[in-house]
Parts: sequence; C-alpha cells; structure tokens
Amino acid sequence: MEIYTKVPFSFRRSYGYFLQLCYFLKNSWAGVLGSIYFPIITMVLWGFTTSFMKDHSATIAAATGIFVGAQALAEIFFRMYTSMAATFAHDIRSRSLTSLMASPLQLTEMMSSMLVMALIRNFVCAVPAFILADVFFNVDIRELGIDLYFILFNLTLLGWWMGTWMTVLVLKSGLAMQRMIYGSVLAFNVIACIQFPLEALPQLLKPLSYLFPASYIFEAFRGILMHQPDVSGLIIKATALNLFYMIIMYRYYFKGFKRAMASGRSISLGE
Amino acid sequence: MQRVWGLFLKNFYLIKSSLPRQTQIFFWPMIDLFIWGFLAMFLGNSTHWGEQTVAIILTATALASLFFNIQVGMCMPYMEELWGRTLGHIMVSPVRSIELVIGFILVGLFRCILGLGLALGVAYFLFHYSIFINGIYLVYYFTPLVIFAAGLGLIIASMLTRYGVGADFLVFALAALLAPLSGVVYPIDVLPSLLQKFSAILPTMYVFAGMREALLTGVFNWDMFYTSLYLALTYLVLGFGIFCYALHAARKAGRVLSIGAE
Repeated sequence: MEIYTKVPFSFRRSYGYFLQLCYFLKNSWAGVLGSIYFPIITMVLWGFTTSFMKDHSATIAAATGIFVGAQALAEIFFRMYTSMAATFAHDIRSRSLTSLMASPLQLTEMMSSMLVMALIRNFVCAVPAFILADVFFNVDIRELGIDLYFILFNLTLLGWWMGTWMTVLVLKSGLAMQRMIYGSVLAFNVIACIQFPLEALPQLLKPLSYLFPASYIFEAFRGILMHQPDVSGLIIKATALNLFYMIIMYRYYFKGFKRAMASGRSISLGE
Repeated sequence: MQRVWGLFLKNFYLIKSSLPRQTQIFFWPMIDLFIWGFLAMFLGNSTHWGEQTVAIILTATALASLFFNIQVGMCMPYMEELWGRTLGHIMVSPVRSIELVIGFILVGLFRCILGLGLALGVAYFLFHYSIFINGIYLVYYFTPLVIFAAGLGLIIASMLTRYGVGADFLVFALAALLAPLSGVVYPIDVLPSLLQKFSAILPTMYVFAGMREALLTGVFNWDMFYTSLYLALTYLVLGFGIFCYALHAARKAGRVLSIGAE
C-alpha cells in the first residue's frame, strides 16, 4: 500500500481487493445470515407493534408506516457502515492487513472496493426488508414519491462516511472496537430519532441529534407521512451535513492509515 | 461453593480490567430503555393505555432487557473460555458441570444487575419512572425471567459446544427471535394464529401479559405467574440436561480443545 508516491488509480487492484472481500463473505455464512436475520427480526417486531398500536393510538393510526418504514430505511445505513467496518475488522483478525500494506494497493482503491461491497451487501439486506414491509405490513415505501430518492441518496452517503469512520476507529483501537461496531447501531438509533420525533429527546441529547444528518432524514420521512407540506429544507440540511462529514472522514481515513503505518502498529493489531 | 466462587472471581477480574467489556455491560440496557422511553414519551397520552403508557412500555423494556442481559451475560463467560481457549483447562480442573453452570448464572446476574441497575437509575431521572412505583409484585416476575434466561443460555451454550464459536451469533440471535413472539409491548392477539402457538410455550409471553394486566387493572394474575414459572423451570432442566450431554459428547469426541477454533 504505497501512499507516499502518486500512483494512478488501478481498477485491477481495486477489483482484486473486492474479490478478496467476496471470498471472505463466502466463508462466513453466519455473518451473512446474521445481516439478513436481524433486519427481518426488527422489522417484524415493529410491524406487530404497529398493528397493535394503530388501534390504540391516534398518532400511529394516522401514519401506519411510521415504524416499519423508518426501520427499513434505517437498515440501509446501518448495514452499510457495519459491513464496511466488519469486513475491515476481519482483515485485521486474520492478520492480512500487513500483507495488504506491503502490496501496491492504494488507499483509494481499497476504499472504492469496500464501498462497492457495502453497496452490494446493502442491496441484499435492504431489498428483502422493503418487500417484507410491503407484503406483510402494507407499508409501501414508494408512497414517499420523489423524496424517496433523495432520502435513499442521503442514507447511502451517511452509510459511507460512517463506514469510513468506523474503519479508522477499528484501525486505531484494534479488536476492542470491533465488538462495539454492532453495538453502536443502537446508540445511533437513539440520536438518529428513527422511531420518535426529535422533540421527544431530552435537552442534553438534542445537540448531538442536530449534528447527526440521520435525524433530519427521518424527520423528513415522518413529515411526508404526516402530510407536512414541505420537507425539502430538512433534506437540504441533511445533504449538506453529509457532504461535510464525508470530506472530513475521507481526510481522516488517509491520516489514520498513514499514522498507523508510520508508528508500525499495523502489524501488531491482530490480537 | 469455593469452585463456583473461583469461576465468578475469574470473570469479575476479567470485567474489571477491560473497558470494552464494561461498556458492553452498561451500554445495552441503557440504549434499550432510551429508545423505548423516548418512544413512549412521543406516544404519550395518545394511546388507550392513557397515563400508564410510559410505565407499561418502560416496564416491558426493563423486563425484556433483564431477560436478554442475563442470557447474554451467562453465555459471555462461556464465550470467553472458548475465545481464550481455556475450556480445556476448566475440563481438567475439578470443576463439575453443575458448578460451571452456577458460575455462569452468577456472572449473568452480576452483569445484569450492574447494567440494568444503572439504566433504571437513569430512567428514574429522565422519565420519572421507577419499576417499584407500580407495586413490588412486578419483582416476582423477575424469577421466571431469570430462570428461563438461564435455561435458554444453557441451550445456546450447548450449541456453541457442538458447533464451535462459529455459532456465536446465536448468543444474540435466539433471544432476538423470541422478542416478537413474547409480545413485549403488544398483546399476542395481534400475531398470526400459527405464531401464537409458539408464543404459548414461552414463559416470557405470560410474564409480559401478566405485567400489563397488573399495571392496567391492579390485579396480580397468579395463574399466569405460576404457568410462566413452571414453564421456565422446564426449560432450565431441559437446558441443563442438553448442556451436560453436549459437554459429555464433546469430551468423548475429543473436541474440547478445538471448540475455540473458527
């Protein structure tokens, strides 16, 4: 992984790393199963909660898709960033990071193949979630209209920069961080305000939510369901924040790797 | 007794010296209560449960969290043995299966009390909610939950013994599967009738149904309590039997040392 000289981007190397990720996946059926299993379980849980609540709560009766739809959308960025970080953690665990570092693979090439892999995994996990929501709980995500595309775009950006961020954190703190990857999903669940509006948060947590683009995305989602006239302001805010974090994380990624290589920590990370 | 204490101490030191492990303990219950607490505040008085909404949802979450954390908490020490490849050492030591199991349950309880205790403390300040306000009876429900969690934990531990640490996703996955079936926040009437049959053999279902009834009507349903208790005991006996058998089989097949390998 040569980072001090300028080498042009190579699709071959990028594809090579992508293939490696594919082989990982082939050997870890449990991981793949898990990444389909958990979204389905959460969706089912929220689906039944909705079907009960809609007779008991006026808010839910007015917008039945509020839980299931939000959960299906949330899966997109959750799966994306967890799979990015988890595959990288696998590299560390199997001690192949050193080999990668010694190879001519560039950081940009590594990043692009990780991204493609994450998008594929994302697709595999999110599409069943959407179909499940539609077939069993009558929540058709296409009802969102043209805004759906903006929301999906934003969630992908979000998944990407969060994946990059988690990857660097894994690189920095090793395997201790690895166990926290899936745990962090739940923490972000709170400040992303997936199931409840931002006002329900205590004052202490609100600033965190304002800084986190996902909260705007889900506010916009609820706004559309509850027939709020204009949500474009929220979507613009989310996009701006996302782009801002993307630039920061992209730089952080390069810095993190350079520092790990300079300090020679990359070899000892395995255990 | 001394050997059980030894196992417990071992895990205590492990937890004491490791920040990620501590975070794990405190993190899950707290986040769980947060998500459902804020949701309850949002739904507020718009539900038919009226003023009891927050209490019902938070009590359900606390009980579910108790169950989940004890189950995960008692599987964790076993996972540590497998990850650290020390199961062989345990097997040659004079520790017996029953002592091993009691040690696991103790660790599970310890982790759960720490984690859930803190979460409930935070819930008290954030949502002005305390599990004891609604009557000390609720504490009775802890018993079947703890017993069932131990039983389920043992069943999962046996699967780990049989299939190795590759099956570690089961530690979280099985309890997650039970969540929709147990009707944590909703009565199981909303489930399809096929799933209701599965629910009927889960002690957790009776616990949550009984809890809601107690909070709404103020009457404690002893029938439901005993049903859940007996069911839970059945699972514990079953789990213990399977675990002993799995250990025995692993010993015979000489798999004990290689379980930790992926």
